[in-house]
Amino acid sequence: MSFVRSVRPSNLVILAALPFIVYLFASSGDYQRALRAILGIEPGSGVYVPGFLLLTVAFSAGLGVLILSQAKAARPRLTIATGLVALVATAAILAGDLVHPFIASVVANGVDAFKSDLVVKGVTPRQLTEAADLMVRGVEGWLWPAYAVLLLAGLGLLFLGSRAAVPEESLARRAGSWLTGLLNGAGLVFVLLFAHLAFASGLATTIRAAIAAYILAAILGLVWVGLLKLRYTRRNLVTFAALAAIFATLSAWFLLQPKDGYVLAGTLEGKVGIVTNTPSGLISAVRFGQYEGGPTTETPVRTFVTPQQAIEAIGKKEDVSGALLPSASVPADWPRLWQVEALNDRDRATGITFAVIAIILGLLTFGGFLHRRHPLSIGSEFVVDTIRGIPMLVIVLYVGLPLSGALKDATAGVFDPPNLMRGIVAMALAYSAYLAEIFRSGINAIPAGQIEAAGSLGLNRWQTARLVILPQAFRIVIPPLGNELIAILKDTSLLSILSIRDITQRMREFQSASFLPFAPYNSAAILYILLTLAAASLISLIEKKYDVKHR
Amino acid sequence: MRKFVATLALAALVAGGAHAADLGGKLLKVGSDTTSPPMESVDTATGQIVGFDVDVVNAVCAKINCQAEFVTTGWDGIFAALDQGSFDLVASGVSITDERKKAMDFSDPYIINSQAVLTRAEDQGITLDKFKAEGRKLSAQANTTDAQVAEGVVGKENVAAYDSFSAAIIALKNKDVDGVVINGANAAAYEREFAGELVASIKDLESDPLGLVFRKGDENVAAFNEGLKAIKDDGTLDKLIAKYWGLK
Repeated sequence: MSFVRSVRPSNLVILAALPFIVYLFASSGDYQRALRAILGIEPGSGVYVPGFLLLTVAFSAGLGVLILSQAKAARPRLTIATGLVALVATAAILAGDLVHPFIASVVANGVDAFKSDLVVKGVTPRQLTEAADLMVRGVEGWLWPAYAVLLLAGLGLLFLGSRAAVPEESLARRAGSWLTGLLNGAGLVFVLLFAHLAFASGLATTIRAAIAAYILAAILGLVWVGLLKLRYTRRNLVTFAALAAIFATLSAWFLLQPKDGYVLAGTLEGKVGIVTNTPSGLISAVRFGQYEGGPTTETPVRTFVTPQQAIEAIGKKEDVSGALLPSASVPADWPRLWQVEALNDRDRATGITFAVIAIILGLLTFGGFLHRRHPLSIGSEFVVDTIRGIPMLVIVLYVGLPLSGALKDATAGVFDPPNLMRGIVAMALAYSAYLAEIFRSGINAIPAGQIEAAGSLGLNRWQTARLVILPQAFRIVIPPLGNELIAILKDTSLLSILSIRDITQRMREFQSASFLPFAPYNSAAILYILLTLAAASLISLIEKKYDVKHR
Repeated sequence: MRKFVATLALAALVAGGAHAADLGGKLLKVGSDTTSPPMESVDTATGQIVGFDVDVVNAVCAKINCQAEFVTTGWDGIFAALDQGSFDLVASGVSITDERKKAMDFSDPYIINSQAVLTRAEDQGITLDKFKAEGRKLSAQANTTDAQVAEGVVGKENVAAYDSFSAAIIALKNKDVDGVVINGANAAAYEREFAGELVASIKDLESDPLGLVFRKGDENVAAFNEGLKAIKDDGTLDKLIAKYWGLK
């Protein structure tokens, strides 16, 4: 009975329903197919599970020893048991061949299938070639022994340190903690957040996107709050006014570049050739006859890469009879229907971008001048206010497609994150605004007397924030932060519009292929419920740890 | 006399055979994902739903005496909505596939389509083999036959399937993908729309018959098949095809 009492009520409901859920999936072929598709279980991926479990257990147990040994209440027996589990798991990794299939699959899925010669071409699921497999085995041949040695060293140092007179200050203990923590922490992060899990790729995508976006959103939210709290000085205003002036000058320089001349030459009987990189305004002018003496009907067009190709096509009497060409390349004997000058699209876009930046900076400076606040503080407030008002779907689409494209263009293809990264950044951006408000309310809840006291102790602003305000504010904001974690977990479903194959996307794919009415939706809903309940339980654990008043 | 009545009845049957379907002016709701000119799109000037599918359904309805009201809906879940009776049929450039036939009924094909691949202008003249060999990425609208064709060409992991067609086009302009598989019928329209940037480099990928979609066992299928036959026979369908794809 005491166990039943200790379980959270919502978890109890799910636990009670679990047998029915298991029965549902076990008894119905449709539900099994749906679950396989939605979780993203690749065929033949069962062999990777033991390896993944072994690694996870070894790394978690290693970290567990560290956490338990540093806890306020000493639990020697539990600590030793955890240490033993870590050692046994490590021994199993060394002894058997259980881990290799998993690692091989991680490597095979971690490389670019076309640029790398490690994988067999055109095979799904991906497989390493014989040579690559041998190479991976070679690496594992020294990697796992090295891990075992380092783990033993770390645990040994921890043990030695705990025997010292003052355990907290002994050098051995400190070295042991760093070694154990870094080693197992890095391993665990890699296995849980980065390694390709072929036996649950859909589920992994959802969870990883949520966690990554949440962490990034928290960091961004703190940045917004930090900017909001910046102090006003005259010098800032001058600096920002100068920056605005610089951008305005740059914008003018780009917009005043010499224009390119274009000529519409030939006749309009057939199609009109258009050359790539022609300013888009001119193309539509030609299509819809928006020039002097232009036809009233739509003119069909055909695209060519260079002016020469267009001229050749007209010479060969293909379906093209005229062309919009740069003036320099027009043959002299052709009739000229229209001459025009236009700035090329690239300079125009750059100029307009700089103009927009200059206007924004100017407005921020003006606002700062009016309200005697730092311009960036005004900007941060504006960002939080606007982002909270834009629907998540719009932000995801905007960041994922046009904005990424523009950045990719501006950096000549260097900045080219994969779709998942873009989605994560978009979600982090959207949620950072909410988190910033939560942080702000937590900080404002700290009495002013605390800050004055910190000042009188001689702490500077940064120290006051780090040592006095933030620790107290954190306790206040744990419940709302938990709320946002659950919200972000279910909002990952919106990433499916960027063709990220998370639970929702796989659910849609399966539904559209099978036309089953209920199974895909039910399976996905159950998965999401389990995920959010797990998150809610984690939050209440943290609340208990920090002794937040509980209902 | 009996003979005469029988003859009359027979005559009526024969006449009816030529023109039996009459839905009695019934109003039918037609679901359509109106994001794909010239099959169907929302005319920005008037807000009306226009396109080849609209004209075909209206022409058929003129033959079999019904009225069609078009309803804009997202492609995702369009068939689930049909199943639940949100509309009576779907006319949205739907390809007839065996998998889909299991779950719903199709009319006879009203146009045989073929897929094309839209690429950036500088990739003009690229071939399918090149797409395969260089592991280039293709895009298409998710859960369409276009996406299936794309997967057939470069494999599932190199297909970025977006929810809406326009997202796939942006991805192509961004160079996130190197081609978008589209309805061949729409190729010319997109070439015009994105003149100077995109061209349909590869045409006639796979033949792809399009049909109107009905709920399983819907009695209107036979009527619509008759109507389609009628507009094929009297040249209305050819006129419509010329209207949309007859640009010089």
